[in-house]
Amino acid sequence: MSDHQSKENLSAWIDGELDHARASALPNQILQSAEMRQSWSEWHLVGDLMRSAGAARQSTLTKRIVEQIKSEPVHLPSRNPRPSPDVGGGSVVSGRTRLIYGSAIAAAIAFVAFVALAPQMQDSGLVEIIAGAMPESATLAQRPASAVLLEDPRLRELLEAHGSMSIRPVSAEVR
Amino acid sequence: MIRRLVRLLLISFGLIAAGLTSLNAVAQQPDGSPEALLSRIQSAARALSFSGTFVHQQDSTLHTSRITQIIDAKQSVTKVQALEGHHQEIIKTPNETRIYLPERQVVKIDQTSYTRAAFPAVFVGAPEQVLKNYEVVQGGSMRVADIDAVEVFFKPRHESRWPVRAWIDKKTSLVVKCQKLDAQGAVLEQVAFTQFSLTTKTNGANLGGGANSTGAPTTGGLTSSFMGVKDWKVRDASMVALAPAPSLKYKPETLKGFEIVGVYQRAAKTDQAPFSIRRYVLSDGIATVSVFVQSRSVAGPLTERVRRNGALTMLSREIQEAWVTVMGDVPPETLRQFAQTIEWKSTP
Repeated sequence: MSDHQSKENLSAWIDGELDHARASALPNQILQSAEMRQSWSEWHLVGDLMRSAGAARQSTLTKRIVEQIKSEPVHLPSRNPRPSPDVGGGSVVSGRTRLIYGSAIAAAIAFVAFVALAPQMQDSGLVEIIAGAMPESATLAQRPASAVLLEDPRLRELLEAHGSMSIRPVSAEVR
Repeated sequence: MIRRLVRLLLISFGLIAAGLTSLNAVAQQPDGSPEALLSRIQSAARALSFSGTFVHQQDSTLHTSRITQIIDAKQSVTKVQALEGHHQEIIKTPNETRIYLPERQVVKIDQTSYTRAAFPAVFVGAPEQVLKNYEVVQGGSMRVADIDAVEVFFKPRHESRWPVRAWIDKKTSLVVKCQKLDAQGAVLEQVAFTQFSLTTKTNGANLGGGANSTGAPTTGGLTSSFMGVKDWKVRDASMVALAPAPSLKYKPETLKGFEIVGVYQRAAKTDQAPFSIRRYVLSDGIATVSVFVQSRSVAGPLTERVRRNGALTMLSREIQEAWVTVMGDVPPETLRQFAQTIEWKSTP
């Protein structure tokens, strides 16, 4: 697997969009590849920065991203108009027929839109619910406690008693 | 031509009506209530035998573990093995949890009678308490570890907790993926199966008992995987439940919806203090907050600033003759406000 593909998979995994077959291989790839670990850390740093305006101001990462975006080529859509269908010289369409024809098309479009867009509408609502769940002040970015955990065995003891989302208590237990 | 168009029109409206009717029917299923859903989720975690591999992510930290759970008439045991870094193995039974650290030849035994939430049993609180504090919103379908799952979003009814998103196996109702989110919906911490299979028989090779001739500690007839290791040091990590539970003075409005669900204590080694550590456990049905009280005779404080690791936040305060350390799966501001209102007297 190419580096590019691996990073694509990593990105998709972080976004929760990678299928099981490829996701199951990623932990080992991350552990074995320094570059993958670097990408993992950087992409999470980006996430942290997006949640921390103060940290973002102190970092050069934002500037680098802006410069990179500026250097990207701009792709514009083609302006060539599509040829119009030939409507002259055909059969004469009556007003009643046109009305029914238009209604049928509108109903068909409504149906397709309902079927195709309903899931997206549901997802959008979900995101809105999440975003509105708590105020801005509740997400004060704090320094990750990892360093503290490694330094203080007594804190690890308390963490072990408290538990976490997985049954495994604390990664630094043996250190 | 006109008849064909009219037919198309009628079919379109018919399909729309049928779609709306079926959606409405799903929403009104008798067993589709949030209470029933939570009960099914909890039952699945308690009753299913399975094995699998899961990944646990906290911020940029990632851990992979193998889990095996065997439930039958004779035993109920969950075994978790770390697949990275230092060897570590946990064997959990209804009465105790043993943490094996083979490189130090140490086993920690915790017999505290407290039901701890741990993947995939992440929802251990009473359904009515969960629903009092979270609104349950069912989302769409997604495949997790090759399992067809349905998304369930737990929207907090108060600002003092993280939103939680879980994916539930459509067939068994087991949680196969769980995320704790911040206010913007960004994932703070998540745990998910990457491989999963249901099992029907006890796997004797992995969990089977018998006498342990090597000196490694045993748990209820079940042996650890580290059969070659001898002379284990046994450390008691248990706390004793206090009944009636002593009260804790704090302002409840800083931690809305949380209730004290247990108080535990470890005896002091000397007579100078009534206990070496006391733990108050508060829960809203999903999130847990622990208040640890320790004598000032131990070095401290542990962390004066609010720290966050994944969804877990923590801080310590010096109150009279004690260090009070608060940690919980709540936003930093919530924890800080709650911790500031705690009052403690050395001789309560």
